Amino acid sequence: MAWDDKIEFMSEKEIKELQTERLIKTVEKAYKSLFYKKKFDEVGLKPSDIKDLSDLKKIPFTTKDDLRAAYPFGMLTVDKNDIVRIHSSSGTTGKATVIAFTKKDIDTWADYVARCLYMIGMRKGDVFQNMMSYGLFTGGLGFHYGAEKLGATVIPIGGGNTAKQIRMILDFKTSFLHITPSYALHVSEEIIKDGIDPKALGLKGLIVGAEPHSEATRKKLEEIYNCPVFNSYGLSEMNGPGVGFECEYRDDPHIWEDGYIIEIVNPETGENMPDGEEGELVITSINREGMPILRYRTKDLTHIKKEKCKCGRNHKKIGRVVGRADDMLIVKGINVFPSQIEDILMSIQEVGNNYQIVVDRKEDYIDTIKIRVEISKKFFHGKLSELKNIKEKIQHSIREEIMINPEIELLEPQALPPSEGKAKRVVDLRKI
Amino acid sequence: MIKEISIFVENQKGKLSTISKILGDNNISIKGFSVDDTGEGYGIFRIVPDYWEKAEELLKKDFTISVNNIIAVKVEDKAGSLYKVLKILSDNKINLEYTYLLANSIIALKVDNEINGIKVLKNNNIELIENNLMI
Ligand SMILES: [Zn+2]
Repeated sequence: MAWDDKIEFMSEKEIKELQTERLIKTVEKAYKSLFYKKKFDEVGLKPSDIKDLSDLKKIPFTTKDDLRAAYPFGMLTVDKNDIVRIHSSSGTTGKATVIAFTKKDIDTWADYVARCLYMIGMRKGDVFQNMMSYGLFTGGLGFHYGAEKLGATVIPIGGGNTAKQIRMILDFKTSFLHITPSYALHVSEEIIKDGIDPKALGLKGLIVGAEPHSEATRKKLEEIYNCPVFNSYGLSEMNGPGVGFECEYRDDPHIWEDGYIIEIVNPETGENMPDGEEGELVITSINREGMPILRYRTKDLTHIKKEKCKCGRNHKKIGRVVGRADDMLIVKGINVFPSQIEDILMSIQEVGNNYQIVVDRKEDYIDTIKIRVEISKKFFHGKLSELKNIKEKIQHSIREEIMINPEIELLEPQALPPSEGKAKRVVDLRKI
Repeated sequence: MIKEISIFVENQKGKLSTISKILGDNNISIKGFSVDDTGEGYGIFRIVPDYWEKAEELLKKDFTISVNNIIAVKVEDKAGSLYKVLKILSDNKINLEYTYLLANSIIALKVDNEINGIKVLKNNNIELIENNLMI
């Protein structure tokens, strides 16, 4: 028995029929937005040209830049008054994207998440500790609503404050955690320090997401906590969590094809690629009302799996995301674009031309970000206070932008390799 | 006026000896130095060379440097003489930023207002060193 037997166990043919019907409706709806009207008109495409799934590739891609350009409401397909919730991508000033939800969207989203959670064994009576940040980030509220819809007891604790997290797990006999993998490792060490074996917590499952991690890390977590660890796939442009989830076989996530059409394209040419081949994941949301997005370039590099899953669900699975078609970093579960950091550094006149971003993970599994900057000769007047001020200014501005406190290392000019060609601006030392 | 060269250094081993070597090879002698270390991976190495213009020329290409004015005073070799100098400055509301020892019982003083600093010290009969070559 599943959360939604009918949808989850549809045949491939039924999925395709439902997708076709929903795609046609979505395209009609999307054309009502300023953004898609322009996009369609530009290539001479009419909504009526989309008659079945094979017509999908006639639709131009939508990119993150499109979303930025349409900020804040250029992509709405409903009246602004019908929007009940707004989420925004990871707090980036000047680069924000908005995702708007109608009341129905919120409910549909919660239903997808509930479906995922039910699939991994969560039931009414289970205690779900949501250790992801709330707020504009969709990961927190998305799971919150889904778990509540399912009927679980939700602890909306958010991220951080490890001692309190552990207290709650013990006091409320938490059964499921939603957590980033690196934080799960950190928490386990703290639990052991408290003299408790994480195995004795009696957890039924860990939901990990928002951060790339290896199969080895999953195995390690399963061993430490003695419970299954499930990977989640989602992105705010597609609601957030609930786009895909691993079933009991924990062998990559099923994408809910009643809500999302997935394609793999060559990241350079945009050509569609056959199942099994590695490329960029492109998603079309076909079950959203306020802001449907057509052929969204996720930048996630993966493939569509060909083999059927033993669980009996025909919703396609995607392989583990192997990287990004852009240079986005995920640090402490937060999306960070090196360009955001560069923009700030280049606006500070005391900073020279070269910089380097070093991401590392400490012994206690906490991510760190260090920015190494060359100072400009012009601005050195022989005062220590001046250097200290430059350092604080850089640190403060970057923290404001990326929400993570970076370590700043001041360097002499020419201390870093020159920036010609593909200088190594980003060094990621983490072992995921 | 005495000239001091401040050099921005990352705490790399050998940096100080490299600088000393460059100057030594060019027959410039360092009359005194100090290291301001922040403990955060960078600091400032300050030197007072005899031929400061030549030293500046030699160092400016490869290092981040700054040449600043400091005051140098001869302190008598007896108890309380440094205190006397510092008291004159503080009595006249001149802030001392840092100080270090140069050769021949001469003290380098970095104050927030050199002109006034020199004036009050002169008025109090403190022996001031005129230029780098006289240290
Ligand atoms: Zn399955």
